[in-house]
Amino acid sequence: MEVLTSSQFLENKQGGKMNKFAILITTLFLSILIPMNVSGDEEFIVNTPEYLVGDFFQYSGYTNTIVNEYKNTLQNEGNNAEVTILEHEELLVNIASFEECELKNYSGFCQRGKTSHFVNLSLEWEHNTTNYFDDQMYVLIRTNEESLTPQSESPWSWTKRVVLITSIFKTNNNDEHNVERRTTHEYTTHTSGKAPEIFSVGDTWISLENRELRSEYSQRENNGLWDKIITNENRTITRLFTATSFDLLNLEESIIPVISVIEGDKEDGNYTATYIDELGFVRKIENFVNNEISFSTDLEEYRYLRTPDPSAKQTVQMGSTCFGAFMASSLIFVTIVFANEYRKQKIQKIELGEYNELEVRLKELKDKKKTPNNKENKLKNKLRTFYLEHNPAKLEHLNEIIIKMETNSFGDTEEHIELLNMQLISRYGVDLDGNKSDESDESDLEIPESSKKFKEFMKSLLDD
Amino acid sequence: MQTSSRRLRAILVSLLFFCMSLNLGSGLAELENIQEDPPNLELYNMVIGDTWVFDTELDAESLIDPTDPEWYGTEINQPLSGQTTRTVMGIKTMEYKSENHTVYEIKQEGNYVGVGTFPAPVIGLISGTMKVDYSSTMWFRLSDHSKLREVSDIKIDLEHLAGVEQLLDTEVTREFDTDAEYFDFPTLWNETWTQTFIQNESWNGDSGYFSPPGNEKLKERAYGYNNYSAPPLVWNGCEVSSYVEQTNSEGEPTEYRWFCPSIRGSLIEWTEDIILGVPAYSELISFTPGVVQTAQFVFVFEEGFDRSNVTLNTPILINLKIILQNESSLENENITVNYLGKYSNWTLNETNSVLINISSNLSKDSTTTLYDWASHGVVIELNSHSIFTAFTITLNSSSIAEGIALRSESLELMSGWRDGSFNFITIFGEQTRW
Repeated sequence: MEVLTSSQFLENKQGGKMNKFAILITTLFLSILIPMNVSGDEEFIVNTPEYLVGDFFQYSGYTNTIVNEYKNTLQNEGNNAEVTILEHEELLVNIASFEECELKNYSGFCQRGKTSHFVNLSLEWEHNTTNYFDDQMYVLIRTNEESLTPQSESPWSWTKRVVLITSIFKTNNNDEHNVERRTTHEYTTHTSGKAPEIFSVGDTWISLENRELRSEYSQRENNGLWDKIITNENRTITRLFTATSFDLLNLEESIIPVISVIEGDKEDGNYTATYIDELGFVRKIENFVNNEISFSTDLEEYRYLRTPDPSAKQTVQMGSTCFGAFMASSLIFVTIVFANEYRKQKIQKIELGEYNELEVRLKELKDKKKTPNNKENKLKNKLRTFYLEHNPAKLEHLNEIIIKMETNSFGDTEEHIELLNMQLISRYGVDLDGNKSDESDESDLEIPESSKKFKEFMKSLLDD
Repeated sequence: MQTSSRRLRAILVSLLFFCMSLNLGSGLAELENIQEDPPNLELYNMVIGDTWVFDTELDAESLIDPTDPEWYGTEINQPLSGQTTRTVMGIKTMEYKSENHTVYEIKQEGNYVGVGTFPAPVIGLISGTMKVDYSSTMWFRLSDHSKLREVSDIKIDLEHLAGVEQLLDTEVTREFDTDAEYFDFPTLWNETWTQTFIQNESWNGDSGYFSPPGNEKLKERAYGYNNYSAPPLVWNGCEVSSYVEQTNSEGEPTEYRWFCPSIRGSLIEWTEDIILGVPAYSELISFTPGVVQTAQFVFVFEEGFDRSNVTLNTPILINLKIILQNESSLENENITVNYLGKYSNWTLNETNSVLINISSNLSKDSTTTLYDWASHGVVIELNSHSIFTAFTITLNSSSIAEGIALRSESLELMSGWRDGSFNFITIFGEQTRW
């Protein structure tokens, strides 16, 4: 709808045959370059991810935020140090383990998540303006968070977050010193009201969090004893969420369909916008203060071992290539349609219905793209199920394995499945169908050359 | 009459109590008045052959990770008990980080027994007697008693009705990236100090039911000497001893020692990790001194020289005289001085004396205090007689004050910022838990 409105506006102002066509194409390009409201009332299904140990999500943006914040603080204090980033590790969220845990009245399995970030800065002052050796200091900022999330229904969760800032410098006598400040927040949270799994644009919901918060502010010198101040308090936090729009989020090399959810009050300009994709992953977060962006982070790379589509790549760049290819082909399609329409109608005014039709066809294309690859053979299906149950870490390499299998026409026959079952029983005591056996008979069967190659291929995979 | 006699008795008894209380009070007051400041702890010399035997309890329960499914059902409710024998085997030269140091070679051995239940393959949980056979050789530097290296053999068996199950039989080598010094000699009364080092541990042998630890273990330790009192163990000559406690950087106690100079060691020790991460509590049951050296070292420093306040990179002039018990001549005998990992040779003259000249140097030590820049030991050896002694010097520098000022300034520099970016990650953290 936005596309049409802008086109009409431009046409009224400028007019002209070629101009119209160029404007249309330009607008189409523009529309994919900015987060685009695709449909106002489309129901968006956000899946709840089922993580496995080894899943991770890496976000960019946090480093710049804290470095800028640090620079601003120095400036506000009248300190004109030059701040340089020497090294950094982007914000990484890891699924570390599944373990038994007890959280208040909950007792059962929990997922332990770990988040980490690190940046090493160099501060330099003008020559001979400080007592630091070489007028230089190094500042290391490390953030670590651990959380426990119950695996079955429970309102409880636990989080511990530690931010450690270390300054390292030398005196003029070349003695090295360090000082550290550490902020720890540990809290057990009771949450009432959760985000619905399916929601539409315009839906709102409220989350009420009651936190038992323990905060510790510590500092120390030269790796000595921590000097601590500890506080305990209970906090109640009410959050109002609103699903505002279904967007196409333009990341660096990709366009991802997402739903944006606002927390806070957009009217007064202080709010957080979160863009969530259909798998339930947070693709982007933007925080606004007085309508000015104060924090922005993007999902750069991830590994989700239970990726539903085996042909899907597991990095944002690769995953988005598929979507990007889809968008490119859509664009070509749209261009052709427009060209034909242009030829037919020449200077006629573009009708609203044509755009609707276009949108429908775009949607068809998108849906078509979403349909899983039905050609996937039985062996690949079974192999994925097997890895999921017996060796999830291997899932990371499943796409690679499948590509190799396709290249060599492996796994298309019953004979191949039998061979693989023998190998799996020999190694794991269980076959692709879950049948267990202690005996294996991998003895010298007379098998054709192609099957021998397949057997060797699978053996090399299993050995790896 | 009876009433007045009772009254008189009551008054007498009251007076008696009153007098006694006065007496007690004055006695205490007198004690307080005469009590001197507790002593500083000076570097002491051990003697080859010194042997200490301790009753030891091992908190072996800490061997087991209760969250590890492989150990489900394991029970070690009581500590393992036994005896530990520690002996000074010799004094040697050891290369450590490309420097040469004079070290004590100390052997420590023990056998410990206790009841335990373990999960065994196929047969499931088995109960029996846990037997630990432990033997370790450690090398401590003479100049500051810091541990430089430790090689231990450890064997653990579980004896049960059906036989013997070997749980572990391995050699554990521990090395330290910097000297692991417990006492920061000279240890001043009320002094606190800190030390950071990395302990490298490697296993060689059958690790059995156990997993070798990660290669490197960072140890940040803080120490304090502020207790000089009667230890919980009565020992002749150690009625009052020095309690030196070690904590981790969070302030949680990790080790302590009741040190007594007259036994050249500890009366009681709580060790955080004697082996395999197992804490050990040891109480002295016997001390057999080695053969005491028969020489007297007389040091005369130049006038105005203060061993406790030596300027960096200045010459130290020591007039040394050695007097043997039999007063025989040591003319032309060689003296070796070891300071900061370097040896220098000197020759005694006809009066058994020599003027030694070394530089205080610029080397910082591994312990950090507010009081000194560094303290180092000087080791002197009369080569032909294998007689040793050692003393410490404390280096001071204006850099101490400069360091304190800069640390304070640096803490201030980050104080306004520490919570700034925290809010962003708070938002991030909450949003990711969809």
